[in-house]
Amino acid sequence: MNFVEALREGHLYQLENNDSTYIIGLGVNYANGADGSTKGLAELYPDRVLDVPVSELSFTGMAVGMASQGLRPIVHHGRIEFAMLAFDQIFTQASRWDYMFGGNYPCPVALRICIGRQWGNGPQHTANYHSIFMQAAGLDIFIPATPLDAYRASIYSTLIDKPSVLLEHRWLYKTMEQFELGYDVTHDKFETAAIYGDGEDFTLLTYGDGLVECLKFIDFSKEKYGYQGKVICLKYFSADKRYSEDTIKALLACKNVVAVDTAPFEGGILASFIGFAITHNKHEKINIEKCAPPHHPCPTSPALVGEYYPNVKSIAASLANFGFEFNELPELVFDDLHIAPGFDYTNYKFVNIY
Amino acid sequence: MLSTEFSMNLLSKMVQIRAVEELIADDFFKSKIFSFLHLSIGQESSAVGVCSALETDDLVMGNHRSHHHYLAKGGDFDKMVYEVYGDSRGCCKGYGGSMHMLDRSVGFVGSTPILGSVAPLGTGIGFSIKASKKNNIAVVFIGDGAAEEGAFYESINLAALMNVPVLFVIEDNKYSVISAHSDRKAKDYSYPKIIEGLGATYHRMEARDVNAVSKQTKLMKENILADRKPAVLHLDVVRGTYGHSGPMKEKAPGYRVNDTPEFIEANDCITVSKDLLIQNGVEPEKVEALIANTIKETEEKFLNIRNQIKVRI
Ligand SMILES: Cc1ncc(C[n+]2csc(CCOP(=O)(O)OP(=O)(O)O)c2C)c(N)n1
Repeated sequence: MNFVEALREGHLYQLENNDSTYIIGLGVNYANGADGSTKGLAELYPDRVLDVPVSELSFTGMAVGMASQGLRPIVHHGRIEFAMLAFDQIFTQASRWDYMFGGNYPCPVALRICIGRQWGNGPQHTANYHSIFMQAAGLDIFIPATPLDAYRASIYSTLIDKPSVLLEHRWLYKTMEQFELGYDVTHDKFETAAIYGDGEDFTLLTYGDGLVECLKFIDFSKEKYGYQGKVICLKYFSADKRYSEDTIKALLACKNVVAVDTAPFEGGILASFIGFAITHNKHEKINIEKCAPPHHPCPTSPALVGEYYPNVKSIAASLANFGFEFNELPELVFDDLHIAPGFDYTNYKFVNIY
Repeated sequence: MLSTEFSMNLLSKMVQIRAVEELIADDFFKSKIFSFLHLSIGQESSAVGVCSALETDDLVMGNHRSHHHYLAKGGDFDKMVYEVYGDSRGCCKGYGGSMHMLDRSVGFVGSTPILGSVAPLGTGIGFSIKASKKNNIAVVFIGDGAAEEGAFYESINLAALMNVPVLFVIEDNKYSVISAHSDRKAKDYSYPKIIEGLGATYHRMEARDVNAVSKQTKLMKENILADRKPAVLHLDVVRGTYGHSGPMKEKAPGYRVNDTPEFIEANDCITVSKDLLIQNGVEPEKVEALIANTIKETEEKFLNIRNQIKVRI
């Protein structure tokens, strides 16, 4: 099952199991609605899968209002740039609703906000403003990295009593994973991170669309150079407590860490997580390098995009700062850099951290 | 009356726009282009008609679908083609791609694809024109979908309040992606009531006849400057056979109930404008020759540039 199909299964589950579930967004009732993630759902639930006017502020706000009175709306935005028209409703209204009214007044709107990446998207369709969400106390944040994450997060986010957002990297839409439907859907907690692999030589810290490239790197460095590494992939940032103690502990126990961010590092979510982890644990000493895009927007022309996002070569270059030697690196072709990967996660073992 | 020469020029411009877009669509098909692509085919008359009534110092902004606006305003042909291909010789040096057209030398001051964003921007551009005491206006092109964003209505109010010389052109092809008006607007939705109620002038017309669009724009520009209030020109255009985005022609798509392929063909702005020229006494051979020459010239120009571009890195 790919990432998009997994999201669709999550939606289907919720529509079937809870009559107050709605899916709202531009084109969600199309034959290939929301990039396929709502495909066919409007035929099954015509009154609950709703196309809307081109009015993000209003339809998002409508969902916030619905959620405040007990309904369970899911709102889809094809890009963060479109959702930004609704920032008052997401941040100032939904995220603070329960708090400012003194509690006991939940507003569980579930937002799906996509982040663009792939050839042609350009400066106005590729922004990743995750860090803004991190600072909105009150919002539960999910950054699914695999189809299983997507499936579970799309359900879990509609079960909790908080406003939530899935920050969904479109780059992952074609990734694959085999898993059983129904798996762990009503579990009462969601992993804050997962650790892939158990190598001790180095650790890559990442999230979302960084995971594919990190796993490719782990394989490459093992096969070609015999290095053993692992990946810590951050997945969930709860409204109440952004960073879990156990994830911080896992990070601080590592040596030779490279933070692999798919957005410019400055002010980003890995920088803030690392900053928090260190201030919190004054006695710890940890060496961290970064591998991230330069501090400018992503341009449109593939010739300019080039190696904007982290890749096997740039991760190797960051690790070289710790003394690792990679004499020969793979040649990256157009498809590696500019076409969303069909990467299969199925055989990668991971351990969840809560 | 507009002179025959003027009308012939408008026709030629529309033909040029269509010809280059068809060439671009062709190459996109062959995976030679790596930019988003929204073609204006079928809607050329709105851009060409409106821009023909403007001067260089009237400043125009477009949106995600703006090749026609850019070329109609006199934007550099070569730089547009380069930009679409992501070449550093493009109008935004490849940073922008197809959705970001720019030629400040002719008063085409940019296009941005976030829907509705150009309404406030155009208001600010109009404000700057007013501050400079020039006798010019700002013009923004906005789709019927984008005109549902609150920012559009707020901008009309703001521009009316501050006497900003701005013309909002709603380019109404009936659809936002594949959602029709009836999917997006209440049955009693009334443009004139809303827009006039906000303090702007409103005029709606079919855009098939490019000359009529030109004349109406000229009149509205004069009124904007004389009455010191913004205006909305609502142009009904016909989406061509290419659909919302990409280079694929649509084959009888289910969402287009009333505009059948026959309707699209019969109401095509180039055909209609051409027939009107002939009805007004221009020899058919002359019109056909103009069209054939324009297509040939455009192809030559395009190929010349295309051959200098290294595609795929
Ligand atoms: C704020 C925002 N929301 C959604 C989109 C995605 N989108 C791009 S074009 C489009 C349809 C716009 O329709 P319209 O304004 O009528 O212009 P047309 O494409 O028909 O020329 C949509 C929904 C966007 N670019 N910006």
